[in-house]
Amino acid sequence: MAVLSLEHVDQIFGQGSARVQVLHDVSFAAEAGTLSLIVGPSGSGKSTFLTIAGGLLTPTKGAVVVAGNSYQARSPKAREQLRLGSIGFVLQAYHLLPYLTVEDQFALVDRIKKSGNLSHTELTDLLDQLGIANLLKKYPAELSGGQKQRVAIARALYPDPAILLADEPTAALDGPRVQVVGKLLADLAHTRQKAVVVVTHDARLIPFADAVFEMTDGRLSRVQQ
Amino acid sequence: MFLALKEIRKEKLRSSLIIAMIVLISYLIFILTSLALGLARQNTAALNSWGIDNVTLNANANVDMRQSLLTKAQAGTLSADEAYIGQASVVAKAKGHDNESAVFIGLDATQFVAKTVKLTSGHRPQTAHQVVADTAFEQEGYKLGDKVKLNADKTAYTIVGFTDNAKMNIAPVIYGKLAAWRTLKNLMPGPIASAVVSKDADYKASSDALTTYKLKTFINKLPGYSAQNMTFELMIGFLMVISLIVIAVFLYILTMQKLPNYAVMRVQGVPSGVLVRATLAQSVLLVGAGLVLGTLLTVVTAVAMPASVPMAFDVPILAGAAGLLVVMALLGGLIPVRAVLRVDPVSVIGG
Repeated sequence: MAVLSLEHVDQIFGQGSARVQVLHDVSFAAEAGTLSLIVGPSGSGKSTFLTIAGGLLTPTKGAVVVAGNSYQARSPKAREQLRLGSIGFVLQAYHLLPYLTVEDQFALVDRIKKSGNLSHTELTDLLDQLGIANLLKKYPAELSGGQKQRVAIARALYPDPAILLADEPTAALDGPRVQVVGKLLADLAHTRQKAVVVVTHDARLIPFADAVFEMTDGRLSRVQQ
Repeated sequence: MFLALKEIRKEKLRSSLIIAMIVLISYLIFILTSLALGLARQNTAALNSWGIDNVTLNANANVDMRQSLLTKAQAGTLSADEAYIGQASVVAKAKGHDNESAVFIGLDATQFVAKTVKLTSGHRPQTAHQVVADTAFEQEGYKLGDKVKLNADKTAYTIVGFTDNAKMNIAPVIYGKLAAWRTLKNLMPGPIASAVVSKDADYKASSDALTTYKLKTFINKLPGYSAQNMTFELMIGFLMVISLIVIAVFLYILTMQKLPNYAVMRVQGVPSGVLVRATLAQSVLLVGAGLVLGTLLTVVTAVAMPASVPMAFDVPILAGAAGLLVVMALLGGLIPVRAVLRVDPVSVIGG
């Protein structure tokens, strides 16, 4: 069963002569335990797809269903709660809060979402799996790019979301590190039963994906199962 | 609070600079407030210690006791609630001491004002050549039994007692007999006092030559009193406004720099209320820390300050000033809140 689905989604920005349709009748479904890749060139609508899938933007037309809950039927606050509980984001620039240690990045989640987060043991396992268990007392400025990315992934997974949305996670990485990240995302999907959706223009991630979609001029098409 | 504390802890230099600024502003406000209060009290301490409601002066004296003279006929019969006051500006001279400017207050020993003067040592004047002096004289080295000469008068006046809180126009008061006041003023027969003061709120001068003023009106007309208070109030008010601007500007800059971080937190589902509370908490924590240090500095100053400096450290008034600074911090913290509420989480998607 799909934990994230977009049904006939259109997204239009502006009006009159400034009107731009960014997404055209986009339908998409991601199931638990799969890594889905949305590939396409810059400006094709990938980021808009991600913002709509993540509940940050209400589509002009169509429906978004997250873990059986329709976004449209919810208030902004309820959407926030749904996003906090069901969706983890891994952003391109990692965006860890600079004044929080790795440990405190998780403590912040505890303060906002009081229950349903990973247990201490589960978090320790996750940090071990990501190879960052020894970095808990470090600030982001003390981490390498790869370490920051793994901390960002751990932070996104800490609230135990059903869905992990990743925005260009390999944008600044060299070949060998792309392989590491690709394998890590696939492992997270398969071992932790997450629906991992990666938006990227990096074709090097394709071998790790369970399903590949191509976004061209706002139209999404499946290119590989 | 969690985010605010963590940020302050991480950004030690930045936070310290802001706190240092708040320390200086709060210290300046505390010192100016204490100085204003001290000066105000030294203008009126003696008057307030008498427990009077009004002052009756010669109508032509321009509400100035030093310029006022009144006769027994003008004053009429006084009740137990009224008392004569004879005021004269004097310079006290004694061997081994610097000359001291003072205010001589002549009293009738049988009237209530003479009885309200509380002595810290010695006894009340029993002859025209005995006086009770403010403890400022004691601090200058005068002792009971010391003799002083006042102005050009050849008479030696013996200090037979000391009293505290006896200040008028920021000068120490010397209490003596009305007879001594008449001598110091070189008066011809006729004038009996400078003023009649009364505890009775309904007391009115019986003669057209006299005018009765409420104590507050009289105090506000003391030479330089209102101008001095207004100057201090203006300075303290400006400092409050400056602190508001400084806090608001710093918080605005800090918040603007953090908007991408806030956008990330919004993406993660952190409610905007949490971010607003973090901004306000940061403002209050920084100002709170600055106030604590500013207060400590003020306490050190109060201990180290010589008694001759006219400062009064009144805890409720200083606490009020501190409270106002916290209000300013909250107001300053509210200015960037709009930007926090309008932060667009989509801005961090797509690199």
